[in-house]
Amino acid sequence: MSAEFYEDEQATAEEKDISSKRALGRLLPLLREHTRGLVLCLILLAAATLLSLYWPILMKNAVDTDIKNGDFNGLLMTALAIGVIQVVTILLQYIQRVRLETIGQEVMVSLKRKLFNHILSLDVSFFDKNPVGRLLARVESDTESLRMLFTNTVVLVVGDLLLIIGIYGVMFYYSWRLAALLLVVVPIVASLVVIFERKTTRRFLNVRKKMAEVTATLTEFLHSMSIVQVFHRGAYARKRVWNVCEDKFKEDTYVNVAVVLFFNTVFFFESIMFALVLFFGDQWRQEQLITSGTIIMFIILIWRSFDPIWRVSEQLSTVQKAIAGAKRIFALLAMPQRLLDPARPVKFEGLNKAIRFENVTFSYTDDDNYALKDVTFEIPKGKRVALVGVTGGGKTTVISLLLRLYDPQKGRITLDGIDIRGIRKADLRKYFALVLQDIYLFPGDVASNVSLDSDGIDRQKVIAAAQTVEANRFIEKLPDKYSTEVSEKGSNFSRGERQLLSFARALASDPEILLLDEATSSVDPETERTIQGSLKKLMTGRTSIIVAHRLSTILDVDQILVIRRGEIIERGNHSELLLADGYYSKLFHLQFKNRNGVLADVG
Amino acid sequence: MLDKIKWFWRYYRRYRYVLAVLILLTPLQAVFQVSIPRMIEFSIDYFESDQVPEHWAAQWINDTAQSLGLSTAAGLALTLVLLGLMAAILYAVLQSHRAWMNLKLEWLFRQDAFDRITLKGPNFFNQFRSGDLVTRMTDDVAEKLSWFACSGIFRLYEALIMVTFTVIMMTTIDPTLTLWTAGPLPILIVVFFLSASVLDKRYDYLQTRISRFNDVMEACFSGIRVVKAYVKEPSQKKSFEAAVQDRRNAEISTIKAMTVVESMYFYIWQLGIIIVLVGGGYMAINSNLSIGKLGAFIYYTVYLIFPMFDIGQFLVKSRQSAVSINRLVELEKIMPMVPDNGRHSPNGNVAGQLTFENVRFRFPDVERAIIDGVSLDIEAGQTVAVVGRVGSGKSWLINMIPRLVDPTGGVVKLDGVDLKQFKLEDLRRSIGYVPQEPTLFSDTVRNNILFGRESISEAVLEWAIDVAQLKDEIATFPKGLDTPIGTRGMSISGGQKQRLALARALVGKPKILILDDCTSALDSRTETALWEKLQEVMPGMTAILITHRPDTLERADNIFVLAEGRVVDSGRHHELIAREGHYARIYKRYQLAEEVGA
Repeated sequence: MSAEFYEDEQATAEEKDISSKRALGRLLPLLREHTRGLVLCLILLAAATLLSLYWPILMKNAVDTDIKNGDFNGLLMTALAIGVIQVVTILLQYIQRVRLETIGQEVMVSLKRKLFNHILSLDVSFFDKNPVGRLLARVESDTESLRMLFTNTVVLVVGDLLLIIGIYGVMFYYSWRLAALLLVVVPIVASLVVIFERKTTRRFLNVRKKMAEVTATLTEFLHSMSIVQVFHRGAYARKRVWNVCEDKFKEDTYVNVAVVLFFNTVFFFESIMFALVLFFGDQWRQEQLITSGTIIMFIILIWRSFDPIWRVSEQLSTVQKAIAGAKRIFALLAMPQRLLDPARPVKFEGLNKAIRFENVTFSYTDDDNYALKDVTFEIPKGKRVALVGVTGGGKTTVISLLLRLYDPQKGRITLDGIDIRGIRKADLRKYFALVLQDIYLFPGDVASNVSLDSDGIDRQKVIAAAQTVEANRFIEKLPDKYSTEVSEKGSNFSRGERQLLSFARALASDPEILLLDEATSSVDPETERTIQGSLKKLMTGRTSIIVAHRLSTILDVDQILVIRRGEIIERGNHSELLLADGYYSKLFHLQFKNRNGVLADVG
Repeated sequence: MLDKIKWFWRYYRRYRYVLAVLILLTPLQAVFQVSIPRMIEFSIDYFESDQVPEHWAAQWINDTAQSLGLSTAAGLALTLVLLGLMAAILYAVLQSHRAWMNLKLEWLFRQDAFDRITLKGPNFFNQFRSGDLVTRMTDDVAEKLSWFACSGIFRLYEALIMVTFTVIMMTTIDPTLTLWTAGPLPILIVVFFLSASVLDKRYDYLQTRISRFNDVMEACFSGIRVVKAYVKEPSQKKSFEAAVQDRRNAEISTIKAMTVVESMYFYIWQLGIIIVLVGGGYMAINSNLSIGKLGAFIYYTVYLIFPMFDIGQFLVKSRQSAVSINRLVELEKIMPMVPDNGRHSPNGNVAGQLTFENVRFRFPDVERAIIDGVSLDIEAGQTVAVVGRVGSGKSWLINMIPRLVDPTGGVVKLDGVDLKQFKLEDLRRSIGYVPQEPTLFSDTVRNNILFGRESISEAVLEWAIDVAQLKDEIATFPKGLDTPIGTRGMSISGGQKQRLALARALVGKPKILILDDCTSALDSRTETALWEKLQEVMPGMTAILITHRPDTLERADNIFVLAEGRVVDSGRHHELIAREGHYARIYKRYQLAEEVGA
């Protein structure tokens, strides 16, 4: 899921604006608070690295001194010293790695938090444009590649550099000639690494892109299999899948074979270095400069000098990924919030007179594709208003605008004459409760979904609210009652139960103004009666705006606004509108006048 | 276990050559590999004593070097390089074969699963969601199965060979020291297996924390309207904090376990070296063992211990891959509902006359029949409509014509021949189908219409576009017919999508056109124009449609009214209306809906 969004995106203009250096540069401030920890890690790393150079020297001594002199006790002591040094080295390495990874985790947690908080602060229109999968990829995969870059870079730059220098230092100390000879190999191996990097980095990223293509193709065909079958295009679909799989296979084979060739070439250099040591060791032995112990020590040191290379080559594609990730992250963080709170907010302490829409015009897409056109109406405090019309007419938009999830392009919305743009969003919204067609359930238990974790709503209030809307009847039958976990998207509840839960949620927050999008789905008659009864209790004493789908609701409200294609075309109460015999009366016959009193899907 | 091997063999047997390479080259490569330490041994011993070691190989190398005019040391060093070169080349061959095979198997597993799925019926798709199928064909296949299928198995093979050869080599040098060094190996296998499974569990746990963390974010972003409306940003931040901390702790504890295990592996190797140093040193002091042999033993510890790691890995991964195999085998169990074994091939000479004779359809294990004894006749060239409420069985009935499903009772005949006797391809070629949801692919307009039928000429393509009333609009697209649409291309309107789906159906010049309530996003003027055009250019075509457009119903030659899987009424529009029955009620609702613009 997220891998697809991760690989599949073209860089946006904002991302292109950020250079690689700047992207990584912006990461530095995140590290600042961990300076001490990082310094400690570096010291530990240096200590462990240097200490690990000491035991090969002891090996040399064991061979050249203890064994040569036939001193078995001395040999035991040396072996013990080697053992102790190794234990200490490993302990230091352990502490260092765990510390470093912990810092890495801390840094990423704060980056993730920053991203999450920023995304959360963005407007609903941002969420309309960005699929959830993409947002998850930003917080998840992009930060992960940065974390890997961070921990590996530290180990690489400091630890491995020091290791190589140390190894050659020891070598030079014991035999500068052999060391100088071996040093010749270093630039060759280093250039191999560079060539390998040049040839494969892009390919590594390509493999992931091709894999994303495979996933996308599979998803598309599996989704539309009946169309494939009905046109008898099975062979075509199989061929298409074959092609994307083949592309991925080719790219992946290239990368894999490149890795194999690289590793084995480097591997071969190990043999060359051994041969050099053995041959020239023999040449120079007359001068008594080289001993068997030295040769064994050199072999061990040569082994160890290859460790960093394996590490580097494994990490090559992380750098690219991390840079791309950092760019995406900072482009997202730079994205501004559009619906700002006013600089000097007006105090709003509850509705006294009326809600007014004044010539409100709005389009979701910022063009002339209007969802609402020049809409004006007034709802006095305590009154109930129903919005009716066919799907897509603009009913739900009224509710979204009232909550200031969007701002209208023209006109204004006022509460007691105060433009809602003059009120802080949090202050405005706390006077409303929104009941959607189908309750949106969060992971957690029933109680937390009713209270939405508000501090002011304790268990007692949750139970009271559930009792009032008669949701308690089914909740108490659940295995853990109010503490029952909600399964994914609430699949353990029936539609009717979910509606009652959403009423309980609204009631628990005890709003002054109720915004209700009635469910269109029908439920059994008994549940329907419960729902209607609960709804009445919920609306009592509240200013209510209802996107109506129930007969009982439209009979009950003070005013009905008939919305069609973004315009209010008729208004009045039910009997007035019916008498007028206009659009409403047709709509009424179509939508409301059936057995259950609930809108049935047309067709 | 045996069935798993059988399952693998199904794929393996196409690549006997690769298998042979892997089976034969692994021991050959190991021979070169385990010879390298002996060159070090010979060199050091020669260095120590200035005598060519007595071993026949050392003697032979010395003789050969002398005859080429090289010194003994040069001969030994050169042999070492040659052995290293051979080992590296053979290992590269081995590894690339393994990698190639992994990837090929990944492709094959995936392709095979997909190929099977293209033949499955609706019972299969009711049981498996497409997201789940994709996971099985990507994650399971790529991450768990294909690596194990080749590398996993052959690395085990390599490890066993390496250990065996190393022990043999060591024994020829010094059996006692071999016992010292290789004795603890069986314990190591247990240790490595246990640590690999502990790590595995930690990873699984971490995975659950990561999923939970993602769930929290997903719930918050998906439910953003509720979050904003109820001013719940603070409590969302709290749940995020809990999840992110939880995850951080799981990450750190996994890293700790991983570091412990890695340090342990490394330390075990170093311990091996110490054992060799003390044991070998003792023997050297008592002058049984040369320094060169001691050096070779130190080298051999690498060959003994690191393969153990692969063995532990194998044991853990084999359990995971068994689960993945089961998940793929599960998909094979449901058989296609529509077998393709008819032979009747009308070669395009289809008139388009359809008969349903007492047709029934129900799913196995489900009591209620979806289609419950439908008999009807559709004359060639007629336009007929099927109406009925949601759940009346309309879609199932028309899906029987292209054999998306077969009836479980009765027969459907085309031109008097049972549909099952047609070659499936010939049957479906004669049908054009426009689904309710205009399912299009993210591809160009052209490819969406042609849908892989490459034999269709440009002229026919243009013609279909013209009939589907798309000509003018496509001309305004940035790249015309080659404009990409869908998730990665231009977004087009619902009406355009529906007409594209129509063009896709028409471009095959079908004898029977099926429209499943597909014109809802067209305004009635466009639809009328469309019908007139169709009548004009394809007069002999049989059209079967599900619709709620009053105009269209009035135009139909015949209407079948469906309720609960049965035909309750049929006739022309005015006849049905006159009866004032079920149809009249439905029609009235359709008319109202049209008027209010639903």
